[in-house]
Amino acid sequence: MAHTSAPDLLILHAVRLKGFADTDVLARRFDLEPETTQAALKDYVAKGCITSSSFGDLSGWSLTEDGRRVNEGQLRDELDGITKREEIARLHDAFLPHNATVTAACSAVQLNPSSATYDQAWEQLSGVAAALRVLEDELTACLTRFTGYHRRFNLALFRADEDPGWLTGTDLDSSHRVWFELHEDLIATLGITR
Amino acid sequence: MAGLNSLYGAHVPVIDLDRADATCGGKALGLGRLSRSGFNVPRGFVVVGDLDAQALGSGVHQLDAPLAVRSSGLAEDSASASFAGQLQTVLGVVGVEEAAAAIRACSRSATSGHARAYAARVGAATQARVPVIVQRLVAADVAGVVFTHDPRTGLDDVVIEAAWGLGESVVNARVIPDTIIVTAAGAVHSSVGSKATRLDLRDDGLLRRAVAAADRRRPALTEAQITEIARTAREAHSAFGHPLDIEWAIADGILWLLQARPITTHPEPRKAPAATQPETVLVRGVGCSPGRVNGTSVVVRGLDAFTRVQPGDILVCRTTDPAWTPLFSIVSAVVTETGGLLSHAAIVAREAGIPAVVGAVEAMQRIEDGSPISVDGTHGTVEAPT
Repeated sequence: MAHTSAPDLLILHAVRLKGFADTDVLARRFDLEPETTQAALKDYVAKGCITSSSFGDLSGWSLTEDGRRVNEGQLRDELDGITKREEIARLHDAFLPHNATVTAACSAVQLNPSSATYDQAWEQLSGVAAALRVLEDELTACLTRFTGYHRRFNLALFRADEDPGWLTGTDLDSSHRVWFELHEDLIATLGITR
Repeated sequence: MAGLNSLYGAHVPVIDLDRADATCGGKALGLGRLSRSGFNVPRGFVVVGDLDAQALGSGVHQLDAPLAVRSSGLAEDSASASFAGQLQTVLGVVGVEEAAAAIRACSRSATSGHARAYAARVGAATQARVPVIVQRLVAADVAGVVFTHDPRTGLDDVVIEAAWGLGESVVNARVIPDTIIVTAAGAVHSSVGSKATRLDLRDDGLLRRAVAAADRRRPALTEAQITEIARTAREAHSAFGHPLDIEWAIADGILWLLQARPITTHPEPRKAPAATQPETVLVRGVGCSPGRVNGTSVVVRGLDAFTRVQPGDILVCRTTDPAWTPLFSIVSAVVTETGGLLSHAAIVAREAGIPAVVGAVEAMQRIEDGSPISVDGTHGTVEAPT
């Protein structure tokens, strides 16, 4: 039976995954109510888990070192509670070869921008999208919070047909950005480093 | 004013930039010649010898604008020795008190060990004090340099480098500028650089800010501006009778010339010596996003430190983290200890158009926090200034 995470865990985890984001973005990440999110964030500020900062025009929430430890503790307890550590570790291992394909394809497009390189990269990423669908089904069978990566990745590829920025862009939900978030999700869940 | 008089003593008048001669130092001489030849040079004066408080006060009042104060050179910038970068510049000076302090700093810059060593090496005489130029600061929308001779090819092509805001970003290699080559035949070859940050004069002083992604990718100059810069540079070349390295700025649609010096026969490039001395390399890694820029390092060890990063800084860290991805849009370069050509840091740095060196083992130990460094994302090196 798939486990659904507590809202408190999800809100702090959203900060971990996004790195630096405002309240709205954090609420939308796991489809939570803005008020619930706002209240939880306030609580986490009081506990010293998150902090607000600004860069130029951007401002948002990010984890403190303490907050990162709390996040990893929550994820560890959750995973051990459902005794699925081995399964998630296996899925992370399955993820890694596809990670190599994604970073190679994204890099190729940047280093050698031509329509031939682009077409080849798009083909490779489409192959990864198919594998991602299977991977996500297995992940969500353990933890429902892994929902959404395949849909977002696919959407990015679809948009990349018109605008190549959707492959590697940092300011939009590009295929690379979605993929990088999934990677962060897996390593945070398992408590490992890249 | 009485206080200033007692500090500075004897009366030597200031010299209007229009009338600058060799006694005013190399930079002032160049500007004087440009001005007398009819080129657009910002108004100013030269302080030679002891500072006269009344003359300074009167001069600053007449210029009636924020100022650029620059040392005018130990000796004439000749075709064999360019003192580029050896001496001092202070930008955004406001009022007499600040002007006096800036003049003092620039005037004494000749005594720095660095400048003396340079003078000895090129066989020039040293002076205890250096003439100082005080000029209106041009609040540039776009600025840079132009050469009337390509030192790389030996051809008489006009080479323009341009970036947003004040020209200091190009002159001090703080950004990767646009490069435009205009051949003698009139063909134009452009390459757009990321121009990742810009320096501007604001009400409360100079401020360096990040440039938005869209502005990094578009050319800083229109075709008409390129034509005007190239034509003006060639006219200056004719007036001086030899190839020139000119600093220019465009503000409110007007082109100004801020400096002109001979292109040295053995160029001292702004960016790097031709052969990198091994002892200046702090750390090596994989160059994964091309270009070379100078900046101040910020060594970020954890999540609690990344708010220290300012626009134009160089980020040095172990690996990248989602929390730090927004930093890539404000820094001028990135150095990470881990990762390779295909890593997240590499991909995001290339997106931002900034130089990056990854897999630079022990970078965080070898690079001191808050120190001036140079990152070469093409060759994979991080250096301390020479």
